[in-house]
Amino acid sequence: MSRFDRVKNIIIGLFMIAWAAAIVLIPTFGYPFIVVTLCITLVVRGVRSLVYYFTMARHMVGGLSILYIAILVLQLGLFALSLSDVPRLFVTVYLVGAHAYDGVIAVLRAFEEKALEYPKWKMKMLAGAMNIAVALAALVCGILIESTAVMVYIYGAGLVYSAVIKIVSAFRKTSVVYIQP
Amino acid sequence: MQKDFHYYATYCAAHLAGYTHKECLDICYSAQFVDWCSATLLSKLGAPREAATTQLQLELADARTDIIGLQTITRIWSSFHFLPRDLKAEKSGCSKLYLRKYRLICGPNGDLLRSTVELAKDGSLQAAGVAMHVLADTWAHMNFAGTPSLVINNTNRYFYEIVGDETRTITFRHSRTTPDDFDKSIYTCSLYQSSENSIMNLGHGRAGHLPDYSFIKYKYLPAWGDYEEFTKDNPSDYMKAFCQMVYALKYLHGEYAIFQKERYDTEAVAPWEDEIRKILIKRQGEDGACRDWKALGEKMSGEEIPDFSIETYQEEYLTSADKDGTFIGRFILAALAQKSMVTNKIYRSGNRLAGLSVVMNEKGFRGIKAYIALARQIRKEGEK
Repeated sequence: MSRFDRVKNIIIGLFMIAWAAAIVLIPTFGYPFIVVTLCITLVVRGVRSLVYYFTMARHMVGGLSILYIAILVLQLGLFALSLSDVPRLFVTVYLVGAHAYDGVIAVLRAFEEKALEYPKWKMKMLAGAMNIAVALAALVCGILIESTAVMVYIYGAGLVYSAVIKIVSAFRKTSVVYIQP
Repeated sequence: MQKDFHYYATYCAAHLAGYTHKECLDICYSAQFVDWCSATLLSKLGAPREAATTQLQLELADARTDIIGLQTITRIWSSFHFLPRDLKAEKSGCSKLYLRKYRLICGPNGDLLRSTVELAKDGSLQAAGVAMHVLADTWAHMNFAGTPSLVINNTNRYFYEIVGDETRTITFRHSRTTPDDFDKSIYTCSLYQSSENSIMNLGHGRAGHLPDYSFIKYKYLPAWGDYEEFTKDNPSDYMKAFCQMVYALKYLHGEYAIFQKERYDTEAVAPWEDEIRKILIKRQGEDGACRDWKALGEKMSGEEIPDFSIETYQEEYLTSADKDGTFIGRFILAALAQKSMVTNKIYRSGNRLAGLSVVMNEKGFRGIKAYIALARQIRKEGEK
């Protein structure tokens, strides 16, 4: 990782923590903030896909499909941004999907580590179980209880976790040492 | 390539190159161990995770696709399974972003192959085994890159198998539990993912196991190939790989002073050529091919070749006070040396996809701690 990447990671990480704090500490803005964030994410993804098409995918066999996807995602993001009231289901599905996927992968990894007799497999299992529990909480709160508060906390916690990982990774030694024989 | 070639065929090549039975076993075990030495296994052994030569399916699924995650993946797969053919390759009208991936496309007889074989010269038998794995894979995995990339590694429906005079349409499915159906040309491949850096777009995943079957001949459109049809003739390529392994091993054994690219020891292989060709073209899975290669190896040397077991050298490593001197210890040093060399060459070509590389002789030891063991070993050899 270059110095520029390290500084970028730290700045993005701090920005994400500030964003998470704003979402959690200002309850009236919490849920709309999440919706706006997700919509902006879609728009950014659409724009990035367009750039990706023109810089790389146009050289690929069948690369035109990337252009169609980029336009579709961009349209979807702009459409979602223009809505005054985004259904709660939108956020719920996102939170449940993200945490359930991470949880299931971690549990499967734990089983694999156990099979290979790696002693710390229980840590992985615990992380997987926690993620699945969070996904279930998001499902219950989003669909059954119809509470946005818990979803705000889950989203905020997820943001802080990602930010911490980004900042920590900025301090890791990543250079490969080459020793000339 | 799979166990049939990396283990049993490598044993045969080492035997033809003049190694003893015990040395052949060490070389072929190391060549096959490259497909097993994951970070999870190394963690279990208390060994440095940086020495990983492969990633398990779930390790990949769990891997982060941020810059560090991508560099870790690229270092492993480019160094050991998809050695880049030309780090300075050009393609007109393409952006730098595209070229960075394009230049990692694997292929035989590149400059990095020569560096890989030369690196193993005067080294351990484990280093020779690692080099043979890398060499063999340059033939099987050609046209794919050891980094996640849709624009390089993707395939589409245009896939045909050539069986004698017949051309069959290949059907792909995504079931990992159902075995490939050779009779109907139905094979398993990874799912299409439109994200450039998705793990599904790593290496030859989108073409399934086709590059790993010695018998198959097929034609398709590589994603980077500007709609030009490419015919992959595995029986022919695998034969070249075998003859090149014999030559490379003879070089490592001291028979030649220099290693030359595009040189194959067809003379040493000639007495066994018919039998080898029969195995290579036989339409069978890994188990059948292993049986045939094993029988050939035992016929060549008159010795029994034990089955490969991942457990064989683990106890020795776990209980030894001198870990660098154990079988796995020497394998780890060979893996670190290979990874360090390939990463350095990629980095020096102006490409950071495999990560940053610090030359110790110029800037001192600044980087991942695991390489201290390698520095120690090279210092010891220098003192000798």
